[in-house]
Amino acid sequence: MNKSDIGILVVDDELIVRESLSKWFKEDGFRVDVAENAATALKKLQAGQWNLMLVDIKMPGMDGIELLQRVRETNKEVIVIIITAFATVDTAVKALKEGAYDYITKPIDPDYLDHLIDKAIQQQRLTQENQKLKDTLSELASGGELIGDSPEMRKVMDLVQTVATTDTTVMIRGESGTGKELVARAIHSGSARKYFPMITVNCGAMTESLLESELFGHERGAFTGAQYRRKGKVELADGGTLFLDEIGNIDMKTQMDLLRVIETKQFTRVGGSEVVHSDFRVICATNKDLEVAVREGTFREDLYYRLNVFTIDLPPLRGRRGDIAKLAHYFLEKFSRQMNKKVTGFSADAMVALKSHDWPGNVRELENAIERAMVVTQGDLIEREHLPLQAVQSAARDGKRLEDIEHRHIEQVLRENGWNVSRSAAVLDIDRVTLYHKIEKYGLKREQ
Amino acid sequence: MSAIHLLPLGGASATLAETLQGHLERIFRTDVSLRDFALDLDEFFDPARGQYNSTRLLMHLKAHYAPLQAPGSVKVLGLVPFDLFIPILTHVFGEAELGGNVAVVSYYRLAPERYGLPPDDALFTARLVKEVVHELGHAHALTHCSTYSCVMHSSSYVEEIDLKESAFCIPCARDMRLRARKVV
Repeated sequence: MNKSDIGILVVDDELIVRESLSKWFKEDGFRVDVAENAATALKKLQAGQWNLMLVDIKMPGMDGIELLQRVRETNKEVIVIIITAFATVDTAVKALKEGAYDYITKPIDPDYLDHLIDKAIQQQRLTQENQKLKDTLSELASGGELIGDSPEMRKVMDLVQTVATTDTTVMIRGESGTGKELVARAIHSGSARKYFPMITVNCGAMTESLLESELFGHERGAFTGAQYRRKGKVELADGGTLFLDEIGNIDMKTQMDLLRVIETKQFTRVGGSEVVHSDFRVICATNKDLEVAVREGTFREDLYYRLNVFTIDLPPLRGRRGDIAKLAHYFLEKFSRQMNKKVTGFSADAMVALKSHDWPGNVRELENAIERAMVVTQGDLIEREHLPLQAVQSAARDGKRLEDIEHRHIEQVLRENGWNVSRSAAVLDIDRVTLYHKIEKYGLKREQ
Repeated sequence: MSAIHLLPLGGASATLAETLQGHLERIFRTDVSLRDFALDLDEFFDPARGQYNSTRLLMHLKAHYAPLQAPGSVKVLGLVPFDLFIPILTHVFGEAELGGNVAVVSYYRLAPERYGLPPDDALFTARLVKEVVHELGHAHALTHCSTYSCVMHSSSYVEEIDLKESAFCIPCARDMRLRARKVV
């Protein structure tokens, strides 16, 4: 920024002071104007662009402090430096409390004045740069759009808005593919923590020891292959949000460790003794019936209550069919851009098929179906035959695929064992985590 | 380039003025002449501050120095041995009318002994030359320059004067030449 772009307004009732300072700043190359009283200063402030004001504290009529107050009512950016004849602690404190950048006493040491002006302008530039960066970051950090205007989805959006600005722990529940991570991101983006990261941990995808190391990090030499110290996800989430996906899949030991870190915000890395602090907000997600898991003893009751503070239930796509068309068009536009293909919409038949399908895989399945259709279509419209729905449904009707047989078998074993996961896993000769994966995969639910 | 009239005022050293004359002729490549101007500096003295008001002195020269009243292009520099101030600041080394014809410089604060150091004539003269060239630069409508070595770099204490050279940086020199041509 050139000095001639920086405007300084000198406000003093003494002509000699106005002239002296004006001349001094002009020699420095600044754009300068003067005002002999507060009223003129306010008019000039409104009419032009000013970076800095030098205001005499003692003026007839409205004094410098009152002028400062008036300026601050409408302009938070202009830097105000108060000039006093005799600095007293009271006036200095009052000026600073009212939002003055600094105060100087007459006569002013020219060296001090130069430094003060340089420092003030530098700070203003940094503040403006910081604001620009924040604005840019806000755009980048804004989470994916929550699509839909069905009453069910509007309710979800309202809940997101309500809870985002608080620091409350949130539990997001819903079938696989309903967009739980998207909701978590929307909450994070709407919170004061949005400039810090949202760290996602997929609890269902890791073994007990791996999850522990993933969450809390490890020290060098903590185990074979740990050649370097590694920060865990909890530490990385410092200042931001820790999103624990598939929280229902974690083992009992990690549940205990997690409960402790959520309550104390302190932990030690695996193989270490140093206590590490991390300030994070917890959002978790599950497609499991945690109440049943608590009753069955596979999920700690204390952790359940610690996490289940504010719940958002995501409806399955079949429960909000009104949003299917909107979502379909959203994905169509997204893949059109990505694939650089000009596809303008859906044929009537295709739309009917989309709306009547049950979407067991929810929005994720819809997204995949549209992506596939975009790949195969050659025209402007997506036709019914481009959608993979029919093939899936007819195969499902035949019921002879290996997956269908596994689906039916697992459902039967679960039913025979009263939906006790541990017992059913033993009968099936698989571990509980695998069984949970299968239950999730097939969307199995206990009949009420 | 305008001719320069150098006026030793209030008992300012004539020897110093002569030394300055040579430097200014070399730097500005113009006629520099020593002139007499009878002036009672007492009327610019502020007893409360024990200093002389440079702005009032500047205005007085502008209003009363005869060659400035006649048409023609001349720059006038008053040299004083006393401490100068402008009302809002504690002190100034000099003052000039930006883009005008008149400037004043004080050598009161330039001597090393003022800061408890042994006398150093060469350093003192170098400081004075820089300040005089700086103020005449303002009279040629130059503002402060961000180049540390340029004579137009702002200096509010002597060590800052020592950091810069007595010459204009290339952009300032070009700017001054262009402005001088416009005036002519």
